[in-house]
Amino acid sequence: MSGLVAFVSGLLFALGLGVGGMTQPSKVLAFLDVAGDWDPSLAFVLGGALLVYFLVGRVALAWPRPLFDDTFHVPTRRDVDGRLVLGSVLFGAGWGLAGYCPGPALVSLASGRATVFVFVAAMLAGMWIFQRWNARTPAAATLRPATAASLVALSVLAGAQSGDGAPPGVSAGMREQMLVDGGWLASRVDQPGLVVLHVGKSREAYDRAHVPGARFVAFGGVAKSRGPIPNEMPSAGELTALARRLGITGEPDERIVIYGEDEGLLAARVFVALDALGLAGNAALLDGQWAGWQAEGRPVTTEVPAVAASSVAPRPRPERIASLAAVADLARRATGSPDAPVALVDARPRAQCDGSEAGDGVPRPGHVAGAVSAFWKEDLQSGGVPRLRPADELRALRGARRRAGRRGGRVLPDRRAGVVHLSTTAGAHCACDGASRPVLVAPRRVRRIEVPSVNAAFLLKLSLSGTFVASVLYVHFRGRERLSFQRQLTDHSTFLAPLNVLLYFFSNVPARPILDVKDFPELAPLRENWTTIRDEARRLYEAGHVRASERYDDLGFNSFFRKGWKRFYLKWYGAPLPSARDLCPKTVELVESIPSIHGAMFTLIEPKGKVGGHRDPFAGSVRYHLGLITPNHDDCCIWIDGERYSWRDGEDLLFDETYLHRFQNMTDQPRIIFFADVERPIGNPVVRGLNRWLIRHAVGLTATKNVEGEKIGFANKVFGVVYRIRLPLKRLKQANRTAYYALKYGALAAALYALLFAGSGVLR
Amino acid sequence: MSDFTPLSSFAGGTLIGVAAALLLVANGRIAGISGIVGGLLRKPSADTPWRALFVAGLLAGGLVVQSMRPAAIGPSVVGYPLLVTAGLLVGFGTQLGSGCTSGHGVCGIGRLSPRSMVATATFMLAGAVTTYVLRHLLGGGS
Repeated sequence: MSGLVAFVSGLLFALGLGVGGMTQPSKVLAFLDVAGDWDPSLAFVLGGALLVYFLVGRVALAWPRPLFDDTFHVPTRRDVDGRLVLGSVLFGAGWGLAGYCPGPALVSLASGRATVFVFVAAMLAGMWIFQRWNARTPAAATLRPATAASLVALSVLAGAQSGDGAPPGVSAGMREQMLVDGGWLASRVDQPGLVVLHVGKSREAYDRAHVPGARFVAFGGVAKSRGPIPNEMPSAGELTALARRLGITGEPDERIVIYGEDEGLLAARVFVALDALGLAGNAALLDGQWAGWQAEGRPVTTEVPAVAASSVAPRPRPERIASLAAVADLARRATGSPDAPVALVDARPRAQCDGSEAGDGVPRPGHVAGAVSAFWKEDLQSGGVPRLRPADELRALRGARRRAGRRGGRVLPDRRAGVVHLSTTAGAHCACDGASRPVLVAPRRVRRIEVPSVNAAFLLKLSLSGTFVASVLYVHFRGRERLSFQRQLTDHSTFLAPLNVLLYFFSNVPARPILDVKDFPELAPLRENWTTIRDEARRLYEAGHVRASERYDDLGFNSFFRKGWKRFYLKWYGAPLPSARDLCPKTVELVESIPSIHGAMFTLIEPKGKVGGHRDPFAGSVRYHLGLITPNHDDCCIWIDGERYSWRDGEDLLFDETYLHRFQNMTDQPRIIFFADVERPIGNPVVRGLNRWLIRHAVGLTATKNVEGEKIGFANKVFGVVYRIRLPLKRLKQANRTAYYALKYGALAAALYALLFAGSGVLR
Repeated sequence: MSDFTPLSSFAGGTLIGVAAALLLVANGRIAGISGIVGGLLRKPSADTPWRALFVAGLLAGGLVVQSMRPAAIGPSVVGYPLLVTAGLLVGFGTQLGSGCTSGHGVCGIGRLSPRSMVATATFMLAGAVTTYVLRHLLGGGS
């Protein structure tokens, strides 16, 4: 059992870390970075955890032992020593470096990221190193603070240095594959399998001259305007039709070379369109574009090649077009770690990026939050021909941008990451630079940026349900005796558990089943006048007034009546009953003189009467018993959480009736006692107010009558009606238990489902 | 660039509190992750099974989180050299200081232990200083 608890505890712990945001290093660091854009969320994690743990721990640690162990294994040291402080300094430094502490790191292993495995391995190594070191060092010895401090400083510096280093080298292979120069193309223009694409806004320039064999692509074929939004990527179907018209086969030996009439935007756009179709694997851009070809004096022609349409069936790659929702998410998470799935790069002119200039068809100046400016033309050599800079220059440029981005709190990724280009165009530049694989933002959704947010309503319900479940578990495990789990599930004490747990926590009486009457001096007059009370009770009993309810109008005690339990109400959460005033005026007067008594009655257990284990539902009161006419025998007794008490004439008992209790009278005499509900003393004024409000307005609904004509509380009126529905259900239970329980738990599950998920769909 | 999420964070914290309280109430144990994991590195003892089961629960919980809300497990924000450095510091530091965020921060403060309060204040401060140095003085990391 304790093993299962450990597993469940670990599981819940992990869920808590995940839900709370502790498994997002960026969030942890945003919490620690008080000087930056501080995110105090994690203080709420700690606060929530502490709240629960403090309240539960306060109660639990007062127990003699935990549920499944003989003793509490709780640290008892209270001294603060150098090891503690130093260890915490080192741990804090490590935490601040990477944003991982042990629990979240272990939980994050589930993501399968290599980074987490590396961190956990290093952490385990650190623990192991400590244990080796500690075994050799006498316990009294401590690491010299200066040594430790320099260790921290060195680590920080080392880490910072390595993080600040030059980005990894650009892959030469990628550049060769994706960028071809004029010489390369000129030597291959006749080869089969080569597809040269000439991109222009109109066919005019193409008709005048183009690279021999080049096929014309209109820019309008790869960028459409829809409404006010320009540059939308056509559908996969439209793009496929275009690729077929161009004779692109998608065969492995095919080589596509693209050039445009401008400095690169046109060709890049076609490249990205092909990429979205999954056909860019063999495509390359012509370095220098059409201008370069002409400047180099390469052959041109006006001849339009005869192109046989292909029947290529591309496999589109929609992931190449990032959705705006994804971009909005990335805008928040853009980071420079090896894990960063992407970073945001705004390749538009810097003036448009910083908002000083709007740009064509851009409704709002500025850039997407988190994007790094990297104007695509900066990648080009200066001079007339739009050639890409050499690799080393690009590397330096990217380093500069990275530093600039970092100063702005943003990071340009290295080549292991993908890049989302917020310009529709320049992605291909970056790609042929080998720096990254371009992904284009779909302009179609620019207008509807949806920031993905945690479903607050769902989480609220989840935490409420969690609180409820925790309360039920607390109530269930409170004390030594408990109901069977199945019965607890549907017991009334389950439904009031959260309220009762609140009352327990602020209760001024100790959490134990039998309480000390001396703590309630206001009850003394009852004990002192017990003979007066007894005499009135005897008269009532002899006149036959102490009896069971004949109808289903006493919800609170309904099941007792069949088991030999009878009562005469004096007062039940309201004014005393008229019949009680008539028949036992002195007792009523005594009860009236004690304001903390909210309910009182005479109760009787017939000989051989027996009521099994139950909890009273409401913890707002404690129970007072005063023996009046009792067998004075140990066979007439009550067990409260396993503690046995037998009534004696003139003796009183105070107990917490929300502990499991059962009673029996195995003698031949009836037992008559005075029975009262005494308000539970509560320290906190707010909770006390709540309790009094409930006593006044809610519990009174269970009032009922001694004689015809007295007031019956609303709850008991409803109970009378509901019980008529329950009768057929009880017959069902007798006829077919399986069907009955299926119906019962089905209804419970449906209620739970409705509670958790109803409305979530709408809110999401 | 991190969003303020008091609600979900509080909910998550409550869950953590429930988990830690459960371990205390049922088994009388402290849900200190570094203590539990560190204990697993030592020679097997009577405590090994429950520790292993707790860690198994933690890992299983990670899988649940990953399958239900992959975005909840964020990427590392630093490169390998820093990760290794940080891991070594966290591992060594939590053992030397006998606790981490869970053991000191939740269970210790929850029991009003002065040691844990000092430890928590110390590692929070050290974390904040480290972040400050990295982000604002060196301009790296992030």
